[in-house]
Amino acid sequence: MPPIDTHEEEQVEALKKWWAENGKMTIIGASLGFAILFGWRYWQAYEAQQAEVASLNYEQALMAKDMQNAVQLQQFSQNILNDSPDSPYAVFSSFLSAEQAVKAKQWDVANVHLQWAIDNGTMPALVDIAHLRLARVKVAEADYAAAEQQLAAIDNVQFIALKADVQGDIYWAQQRFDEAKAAYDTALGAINGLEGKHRLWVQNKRDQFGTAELKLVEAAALAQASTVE
Amino acid sequence: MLQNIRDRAQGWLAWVIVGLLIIPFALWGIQEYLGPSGKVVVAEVEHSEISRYQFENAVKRQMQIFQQNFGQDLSSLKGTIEKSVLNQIIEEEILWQQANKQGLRIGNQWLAAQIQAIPSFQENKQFSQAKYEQVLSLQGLNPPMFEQDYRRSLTADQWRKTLLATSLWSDADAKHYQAIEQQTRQISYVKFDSESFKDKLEITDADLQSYYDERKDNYVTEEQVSIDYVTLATDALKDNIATNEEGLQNYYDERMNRFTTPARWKARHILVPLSKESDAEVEKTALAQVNELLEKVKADGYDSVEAQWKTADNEAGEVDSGEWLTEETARPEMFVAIKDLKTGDTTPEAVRTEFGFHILHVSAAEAERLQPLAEVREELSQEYQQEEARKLFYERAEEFSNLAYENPDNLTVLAETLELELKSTDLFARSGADSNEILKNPKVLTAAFSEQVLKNQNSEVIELGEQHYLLLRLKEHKKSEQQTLETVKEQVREDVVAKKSKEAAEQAGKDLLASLEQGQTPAADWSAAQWVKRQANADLALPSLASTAFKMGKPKDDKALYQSLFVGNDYVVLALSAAKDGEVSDGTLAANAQMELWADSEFSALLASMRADTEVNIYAEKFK
Repeated sequence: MPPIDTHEEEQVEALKKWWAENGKMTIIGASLGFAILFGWRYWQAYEAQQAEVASLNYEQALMAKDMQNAVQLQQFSQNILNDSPDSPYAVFSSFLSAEQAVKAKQWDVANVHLQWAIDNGTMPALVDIAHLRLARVKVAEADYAAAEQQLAAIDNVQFIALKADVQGDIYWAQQRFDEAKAAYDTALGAINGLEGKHRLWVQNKRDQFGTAELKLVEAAALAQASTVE
Repeated sequence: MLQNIRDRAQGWLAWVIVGLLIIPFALWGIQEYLGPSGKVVVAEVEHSEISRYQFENAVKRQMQIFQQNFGQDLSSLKGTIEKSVLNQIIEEEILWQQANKQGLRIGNQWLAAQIQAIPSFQENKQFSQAKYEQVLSLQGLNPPMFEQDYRRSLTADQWRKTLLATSLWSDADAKHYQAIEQQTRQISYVKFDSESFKDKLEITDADLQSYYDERKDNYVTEEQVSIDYVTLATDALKDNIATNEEGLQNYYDERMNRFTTPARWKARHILVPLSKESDAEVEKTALAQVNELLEKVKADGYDSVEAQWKTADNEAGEVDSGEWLTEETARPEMFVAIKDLKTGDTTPEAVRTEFGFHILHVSAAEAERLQPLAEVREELSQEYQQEEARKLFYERAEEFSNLAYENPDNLTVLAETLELELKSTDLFARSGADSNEILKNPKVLTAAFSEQVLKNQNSEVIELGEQHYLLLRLKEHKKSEQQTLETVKEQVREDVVAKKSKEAAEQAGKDLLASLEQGQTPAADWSAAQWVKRQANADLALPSLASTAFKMGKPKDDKALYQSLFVGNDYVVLALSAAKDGEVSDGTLAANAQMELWADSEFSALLASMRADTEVNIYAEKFK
């Protein structure tokens, strides 16, 4: 083999020198980079796996609900709250527990679950739904001031119709009929809002007060009309 | 030499070359990013594109579903359907993106369980992998594609599913709902029949005149046309074609295959079994054995040897369960052995197949058979005519179009040149007529009333169906004309009577209402008081009154509420005397739970909130 020319030798020398000065830092830097990269990927995989477990628990809780197995439902929901309290599944399962409580007329239990969703939910629209539902629980409980407070907490234009409907129910329950009528009108008039069957229901509630386009005459009842069915 | 290269590689030229080499590598594939991707994008949700292909497929599917359900031509609704389909695709994409963002996931375990529960992938109520793959491939899918799509839809569906499953319906809701939805109301009414006022009306000629003057446009004759037309159709041309003997013979000769039944055999066999490949020794023994059997066959006849062989628990009997064997269906080795044999023959030597040595015995043999022309003449000559007519049609179709184009102001040149019959119709209006089949065709009607035809030009060539052309021109045009009062006097009188009697009925109703308002109770023909529900009031003579009654508010104290309205041509005064709320009959409210009532609205509010946070761009101008 011919001798290595001096030019190349110089380069090798320079490299060695550079490595002596910076080698340590390079190794540390590279390992740190790899550690962060792999750590990040591991963390993502872990999160995905946690979410899948929460999702499976939640689906099983829904199945337990269909089978009316309250014990299992409770158990699957608890699993989610223990393992993945930050996931949307935690909010979903608190909704589920609230629904069960409302069915059993346990207003305070429903209150706790919905309040949990309000305090811990990370998605604003889901928190709005929690407020709306809690307001309806308060109406069922006949605590109208608290119901109005919950409605006031919703600041989302997409919920105008739904809020107005619950507000109408609050007035209706308190026999404040003129205000109820106005609230139902607001609900029906909102651009976004009431889907088919719900709209019909609000319309029927509204029509209890008579519609404006009809000219009504109030006069003595006819002799032959009787209140006996 | 290598050293030389190394030395020179230090020079500036080397760097230039390397530099030049870098450029194509660095830029490889960059057009993928820069140029138009060749994919037309209809809309974009955040950075996810919805391609025209995906969109059009979805529209096609939706149209098919509608078509199947309603069975009519829906092309007029296409625009609306396209808009709603696009919206649906966008919403699904939003739900999926938000599911990802918020951390909704479907794991493999749940996905597998859901797929396995789908009945179309099951056999005997058990999931079958083979059926799964088969069903998917019929739809042009494969398992990974399907699983990805299904995971996506299951994930996105968790939003809707959650709101529905957790929707609240308290007993307060139920009571309120029941009270209103099951409410009954007591009504009574007077009907002023407009018919009953007709005789009392006094109608003067002046009334008729003024009514006629105000509505002159109602009293005109309908615009009508009649047309001349020629048609060119295969069916008509068929009659012109005389069956020509030579042509038919040629036609038959070209299609002989169709009329040939190939030679075929039925065979029996005696099998000395062997595996596909066995060593020479075993082969030899078997061959000796089969040759011995062949000798016996020659001595005792095939049947008795077969019977003996069978009783000794060996395989023998009909080949292919006694099916006919042809060149196509028989194993090639067997075909070669039997193709020259007649009924009752046995193969002189054993035939080796993958199963072993066979002695074959032909139990029936039929030679190839060709049906002579005489036997198929009728069927074939019709077909021949049809075929010739079709050829003739295409020969003449071009000439037809050319002549139509060259002679826009008459049909005679066309009809005479091509020896077509010039036909004509009676007068008809835009809605067509039953007198002639072609006047039911919308294409013909549109053409007949087109500006071009009304200006005495020929129409364009109209394709009525496959191999069926039509060309038409105007024969007579009767424009819409104003009719004088004298000619339509009876009709005007009827119209005036209808209007005036309606007015009289309304006046009578309003008079009654006014006197009720003043506290009087004039005699009127009130119907018996009756309780009605919101829907389905079978015993109510005027069903529409129920929905009106439920819009009248609630009567207070001893008062009743009154209202008047038209029902058809008649006028009605309606009295609402009482309303009674529906009651919750027992404590269990689950039976009438209206979970979806709230869930649907909550879901739409959730979706709208998501959409407000998402950047959606719709590129197709017409869907904006």
